[in-house]
Amino acid sequence: MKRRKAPSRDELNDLLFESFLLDHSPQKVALLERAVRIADQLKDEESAYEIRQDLIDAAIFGGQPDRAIVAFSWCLAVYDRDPDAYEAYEILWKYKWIIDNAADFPTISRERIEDLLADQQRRYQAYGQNEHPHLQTRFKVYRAFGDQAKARQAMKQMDRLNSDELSDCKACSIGSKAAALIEWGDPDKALVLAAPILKGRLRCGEEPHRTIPQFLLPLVEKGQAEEAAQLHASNYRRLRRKPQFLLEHGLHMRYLAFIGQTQEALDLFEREWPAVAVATQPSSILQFYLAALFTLQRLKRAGVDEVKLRIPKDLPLGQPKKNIAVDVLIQWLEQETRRQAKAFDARNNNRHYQGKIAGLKRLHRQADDWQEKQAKGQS
Amino acid sequence: MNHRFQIDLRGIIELLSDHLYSGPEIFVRELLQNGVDAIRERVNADPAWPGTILFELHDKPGQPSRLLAADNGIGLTEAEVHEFLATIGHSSKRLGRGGRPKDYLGQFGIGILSCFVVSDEIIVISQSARPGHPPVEWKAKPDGTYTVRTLAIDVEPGTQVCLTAKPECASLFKYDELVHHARHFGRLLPYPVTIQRGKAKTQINQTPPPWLREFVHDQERRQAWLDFGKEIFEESYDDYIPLASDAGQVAGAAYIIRHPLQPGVTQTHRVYLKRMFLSDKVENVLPEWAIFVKAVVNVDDLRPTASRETLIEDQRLHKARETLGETLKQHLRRMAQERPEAVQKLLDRHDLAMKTLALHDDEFFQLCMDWFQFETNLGRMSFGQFLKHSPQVRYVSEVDGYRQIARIAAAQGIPLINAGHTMESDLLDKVSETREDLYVERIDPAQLARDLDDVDAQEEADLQFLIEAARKVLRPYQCLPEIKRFQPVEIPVLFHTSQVGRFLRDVQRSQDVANPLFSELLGDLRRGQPREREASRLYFNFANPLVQRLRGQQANPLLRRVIEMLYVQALLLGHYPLSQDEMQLLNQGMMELIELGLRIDPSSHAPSSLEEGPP
Repeated sequence: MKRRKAPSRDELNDLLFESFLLDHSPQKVALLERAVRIADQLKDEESAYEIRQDLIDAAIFGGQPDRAIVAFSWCLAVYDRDPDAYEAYEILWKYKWIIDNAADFPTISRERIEDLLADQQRRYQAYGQNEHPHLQTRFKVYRAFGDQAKARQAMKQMDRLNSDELSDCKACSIGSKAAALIEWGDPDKALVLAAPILKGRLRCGEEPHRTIPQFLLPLVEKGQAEEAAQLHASNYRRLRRKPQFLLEHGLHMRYLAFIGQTQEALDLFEREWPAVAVATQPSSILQFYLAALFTLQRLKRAGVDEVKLRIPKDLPLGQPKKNIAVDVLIQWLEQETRRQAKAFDARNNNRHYQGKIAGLKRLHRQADDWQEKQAKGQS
Repeated sequence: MNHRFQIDLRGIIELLSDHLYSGPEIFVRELLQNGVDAIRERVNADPAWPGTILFELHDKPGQPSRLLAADNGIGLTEAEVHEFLATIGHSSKRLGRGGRPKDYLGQFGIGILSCFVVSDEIIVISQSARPGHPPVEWKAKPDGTYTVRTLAIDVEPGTQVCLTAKPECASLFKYDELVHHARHFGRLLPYPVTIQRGKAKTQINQTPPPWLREFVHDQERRQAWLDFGKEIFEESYDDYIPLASDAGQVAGAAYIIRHPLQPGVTQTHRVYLKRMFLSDKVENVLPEWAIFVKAVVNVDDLRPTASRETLIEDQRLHKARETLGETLKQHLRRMAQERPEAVQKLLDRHDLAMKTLALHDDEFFQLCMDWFQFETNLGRMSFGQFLKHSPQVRYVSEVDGYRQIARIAAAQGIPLINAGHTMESDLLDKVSETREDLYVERIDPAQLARDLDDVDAQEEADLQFLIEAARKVLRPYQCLPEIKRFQPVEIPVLFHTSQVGRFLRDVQRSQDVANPLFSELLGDLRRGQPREREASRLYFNFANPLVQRLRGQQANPLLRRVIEMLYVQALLLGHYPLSQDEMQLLNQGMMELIELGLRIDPSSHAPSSLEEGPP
């Protein structure tokens, strides 16, 4: 009987080399998962650990955090069994990603995440850290819970301390705080805080990619439309067709729809929609669909009944590029966003996400006002 | 006569070095810029004027090095010196877009300040080319004091700036270092720039860039373009593409990169603005798909942003980018006609970049889709070759799914493409949208397995017991048994699992070792998965002799073990790592078979219960 070649060191090395060439992405995750399976079969625990470490990076920054959680759970167990064999810093550093990403899954309960926070706190303390990195995780988790009071409190406590070894880099720290300030209705303060990122003076692997999209609407509303347009053009280039930036794609789409470039917004929706099939980030998908819903509602208000759209095959509405009724899309998106928002709100025990759906009405009014003002300015 | 600045000069210098100057070596750029601007002014009045710039280094042991930067440009009158000093004071009001003053004097003022980063004193001696003005000397210190006086000597028109190295900047005043920086910034400048120290002398821009040169022979032309690429990027190339656009007034060269590119990277290009170095990090001068080339261009009519690392997105830039993109495409098309093997090499080397290009550009897609290589169950071949084997294009969009099913599909005579690598399935989708003459279908491997031949009613009845038993055995592993008949007959069972199924198997392996907290967390994740109870299937192959022999074995006490072992064997053959429970199945099964073997009397050759044929 002809058999497939047995898994071997060679195949493992080939996979690792190939993955080395790839950016963090679902493709890289798939390659590394195959590599992990081979390492597991070869019973090579050390390689299996190291490859999983790479897998965690690729999955966290490649839009598939659930895969990172699976790999991390294995690593943490192996690390605990033999702490001298592996690097403490590496696994503790990744722990914070695991927790704040876990909070983005509605099926994971608040209690479970509080338990994880307590476990993290204990481990960070034992590693000699001050409370800063732990509070930073708490701050992000409570934001994911839509719990503004607790998030503010964590931020306040965190700001009293110096950052420590396990804290986020400066660009990321500023970026996450600025995003919170915008959500809490203080874009001016956010703008001052994030100026070094927006001006290109402070960068990291994740910034300014993640922060710029947050500021597009605030800038437009402050009358800095030209600046927003420049930032949109340069930043979207960086994010185009990268599924890990689904949330940011949504923000760019919302911006385009807001300023009246609905066709561009729709093009973006079509281009990035396939990422929903691979990005396992329920909260990002929800926000992406919210932006799509806003876009289609804008089209409808402008009197458009039908759009030509290609829809990913794996989805219920999947179709090659052809016409589809705007109402059908709106209905499906409403249903989808409501379902997810309810799941989150049930877990969070509040109405944070459903509030975002309700907030679309206000956004429409703001967009109407803004566009009206533009039209007057032109005439 | 002593004057004072109205503003804190140190503050301004600090501000400028933070915002406009990326490193102390930037003073070289500013000196060159001042020289070029002065010469341009003079050339305006006298088009034949042969402008030159000379940097002279003077160093004596035990003394700080001095640099004399001289140009034979328009020069400054005493009144103009005062004016540019005023500019420094009011510079903020006269800043244009990109944070720099627009006019010559304003530029001069801002530029000269950068010299305070490396020198504690700036002496400027200038002779205006306009008649009737005496030479003027300006001496300034960073504390804000300066003197201006006219000189009673004869000087040629032009400007000389004299700097004295601060101790911490001594290395910037070394000959090699200065040549290096001057070349970096001023390589494309239109006037000869020479660096001199004693007898050593280097002109840093002796040969103009190839797009400004005339060539007699093709070979000479090619060599000159390639040499220029090597000089600029310190990398060897074997192909170049001349770039030119009227919009934005862009001219330059793109070089096809030889080393394999990381997918997902964005390419950065070197841009000169009006012949002066702007940045090495400009992304948006070429279309984003053009990651397989590295470009060096001069732009005369595009604007940089304040960071100097991107160009402002305006109509001119859009137009220029479109033109340059079209140039790249044309080059590839010509290459495809003249040197198809070179294109194949290029496609292989920059597989992903080329696939992206094909995906975004219909013409390019039509041009090269047939050349892309795919893994198929007929071997590795180009799409064009595959079409010769099979007018029907069937593909699987993920590698693991393909691997599970490729051999079975081949045995059923179904050619299959593995489109699980980046963008491959997008390309085939595009084929299905654009080529109506072809039948293109994405195959769901699970569906392909389900579509294998069913057995007839009698056969199914005969093996009903097997399915029942297998259902019980496999339930804990979320796997459903079925009976099919398929080629090749040597395969007794086919294990198939979906992407979700594979993920759940990975979750299980982590749960096997995880601590209680994380085990619960993984359970939460598992619950979040789409309910796929049929994620995995085990297909018994009725055409296989071993499976045939199981008929009528319902009472055999070993039946359970046989199913377990077939299941584990299928996993091992499919290269699935085993979970703890599956590993236990394997161990127990092995032990039992060994024990059974030991119980058999070797002399009697008594057939084991399973070796009896069907009744």
